[in-house]
Amino acid sequence: MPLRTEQLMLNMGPQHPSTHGVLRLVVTLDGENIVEVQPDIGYLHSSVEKMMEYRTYLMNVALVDRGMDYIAALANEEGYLLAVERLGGIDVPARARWLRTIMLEFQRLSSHLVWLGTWGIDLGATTVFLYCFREREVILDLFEQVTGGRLHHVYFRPGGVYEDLPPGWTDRALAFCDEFPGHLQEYHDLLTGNPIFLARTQGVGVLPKDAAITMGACGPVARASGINFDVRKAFPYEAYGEVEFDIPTFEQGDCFARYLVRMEEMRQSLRIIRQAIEKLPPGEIRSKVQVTVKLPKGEVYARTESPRGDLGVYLVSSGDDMPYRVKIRAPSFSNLYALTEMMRGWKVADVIAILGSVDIVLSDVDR
Amino acid sequence: MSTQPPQPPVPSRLASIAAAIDILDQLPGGNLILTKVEYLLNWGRAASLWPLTFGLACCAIEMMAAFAGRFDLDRIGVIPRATPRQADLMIVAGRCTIKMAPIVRRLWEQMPEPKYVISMGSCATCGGPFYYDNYSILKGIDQVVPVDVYVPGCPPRPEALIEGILKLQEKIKVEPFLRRTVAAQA
Amino acid sequence: MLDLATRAWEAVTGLYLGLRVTILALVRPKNTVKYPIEKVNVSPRWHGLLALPIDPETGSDMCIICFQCERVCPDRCIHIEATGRAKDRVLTRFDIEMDKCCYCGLCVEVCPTEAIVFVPHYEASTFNRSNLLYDLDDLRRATPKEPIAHGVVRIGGR
Ligand code: SF4
Ligand code: SF4
Ligand code: SF4
Repeated sequence: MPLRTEQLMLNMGPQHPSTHGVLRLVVTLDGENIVEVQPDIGYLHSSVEKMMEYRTYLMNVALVDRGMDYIAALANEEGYLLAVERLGGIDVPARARWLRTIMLEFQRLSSHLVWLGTWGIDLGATTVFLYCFREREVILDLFEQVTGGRLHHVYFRPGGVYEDLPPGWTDRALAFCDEFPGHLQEYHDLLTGNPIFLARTQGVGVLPKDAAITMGACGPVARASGINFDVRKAFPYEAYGEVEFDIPTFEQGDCFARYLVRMEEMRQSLRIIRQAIEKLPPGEIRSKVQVTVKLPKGEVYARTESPRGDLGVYLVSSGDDMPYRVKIRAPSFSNLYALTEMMRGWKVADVIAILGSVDIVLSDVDR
Repeated sequence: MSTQPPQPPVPSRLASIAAAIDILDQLPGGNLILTKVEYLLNWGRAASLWPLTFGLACCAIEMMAAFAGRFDLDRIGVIPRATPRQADLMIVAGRCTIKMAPIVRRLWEQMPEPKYVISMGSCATCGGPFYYDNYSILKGIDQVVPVDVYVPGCPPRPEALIEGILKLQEKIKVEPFLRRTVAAQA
Repeated sequence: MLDLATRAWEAVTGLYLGLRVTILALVRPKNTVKYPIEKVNVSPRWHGLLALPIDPETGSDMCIICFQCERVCPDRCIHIEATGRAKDRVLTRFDIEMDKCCYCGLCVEVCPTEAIVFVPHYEASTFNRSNLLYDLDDLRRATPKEPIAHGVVRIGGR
């Protein structure tokens, strides 16, 4: 007589040390195997899309920092301002474009470091967290010297950036670029060679290429599944068309591949920063744009590559000084959807490893 | 089980402690001893505040930075715990939605007494950037849990959070901890 | 058997590599800041608390009561009231709700006279939320000796 088992519903979150914020996962288990995972979102819904309709275009810069993906605040500003500038025909001086590129890449570095550190904690490697945050503090100091903020910057403005670099900043940034590959090697030493880490990540949570396309995965998750797509290359914005960098792509689609993609992306970010600092042209940093700028009637869709993937901002203007409607296509949201596919059939202990490898930010999911 | 008659109330441990404290307080010189014991207890409690690792939004990233190497909250005895049963401090880091509010409240209720709450950042304090034109964010975490220390900032620097915790320690150090148990029994 | 040996060898090398990193970190210079005793030098552009610096010549602040900052504030946390007309206009109320402020710096940016600035001061935690409503006196008291953040919109390179 076959043993009759019952399916068990397990509730993870919203307060769980490893769910990276306030995500609730309803996991249906058969013994120890996952039958189905249903994310329950909305615990951090901050209604930022609605709020943006009541604030002028300049004020919204302060809002998108906080309301969206808060680990990569500048990437949100970029996505939003790209839409504003495209719709309003505002041109950005060359120096500002390069400054934005530098800042965006530093933001990518700091965001990936947060991901690596927290994922390390999830997998039981607390040491990595300490090392990652040590390097991140250096980046935050560099940010603080330019933008005045550590996490939320409000640095980009319609038509440029707020302030120029302080004297001596480029030297400090280059010094960081010189020493960071050594730290990257440290992370590799700590994790990549570690058999426990490999056992928990290699071959776990595989997302095949066709599933990744169907589920709309983007960013590092898609690239780990063999989709060679990066908005920075496909639709270059700012100065990305003028710098050389590679898009790391892996075929395996497992947690380990996602880890390798991000590690390699950090290296490429350093490459971009170095080139950008070298090519940084002198000149204006901000074109004249009114504080209460009015955009012409129309609509625009701008897509950028945030550290988490393809960030799209759809902006409708009714000719007023406030947006008529803003819709944010959040990368974490579509990646969270792909998570259900990744987790099916794995053991319950792998939930945390897979969830961490996707790198979702709940503020980005819920907005 | 349900048919059993209700048991007569057993004097709880708390009540007997309260009675002992009350007697000690009446004795000559007992007051001084009580104060010294209280000082010692408070010193111990203040030097080992264990917060609940509980991040809501952006401020949680700065809280993590405060736990990391550079600011190192472990230095002053603040060691994060993953479960509310072991924690005596709750750092509400970030904006709290109306959907999340009952869960915050339940976590707070699960924490053993004495417990403290630090509201970190503008959002937890009063809604902050999400105060106006917003339908989903709670206008201040003090609507659901009592807050001891407010730390302003968006996000507050890790130092600002440490300063808030130091401030809370000052508050704990002067609390009439033992006498409050008497008061609670009265 | 061979498989087991390779796996054991991998484990040993992995452990060695990881431990080497941690042991090397022991001899590196420490990066912990013992906060209440020593402090990090915050950058002069740091968005700390807001203040109204006093002009040494007039002994008052430099606000010309143009309401620009009140209008641009995304959180609507600045409240200004004034009496009198033209030259004699005086501030009767200048409140900033520091608990609602998101330290974005837009008010500092639009102010035409650099009357409102950021100070590199961030320790303002209180037991009572009403202490975070900074009125005119609080804002003037919070002033540093010299302004440290740049308020005027500067167009053009360095
Ligand atoms: S106070 Fe600022 S940093 Fe903190 S949660 Fe609110 S918006 Fe985020
Ligand atoms: S810093 Fe921003 S939120 Fe704060 S008062 Fe100024 S404009 Fe308002
Ligand atoms: S913008 Fe400056 S001058 Fe105008 S009201 Fe505000 S503080 Fe005063």
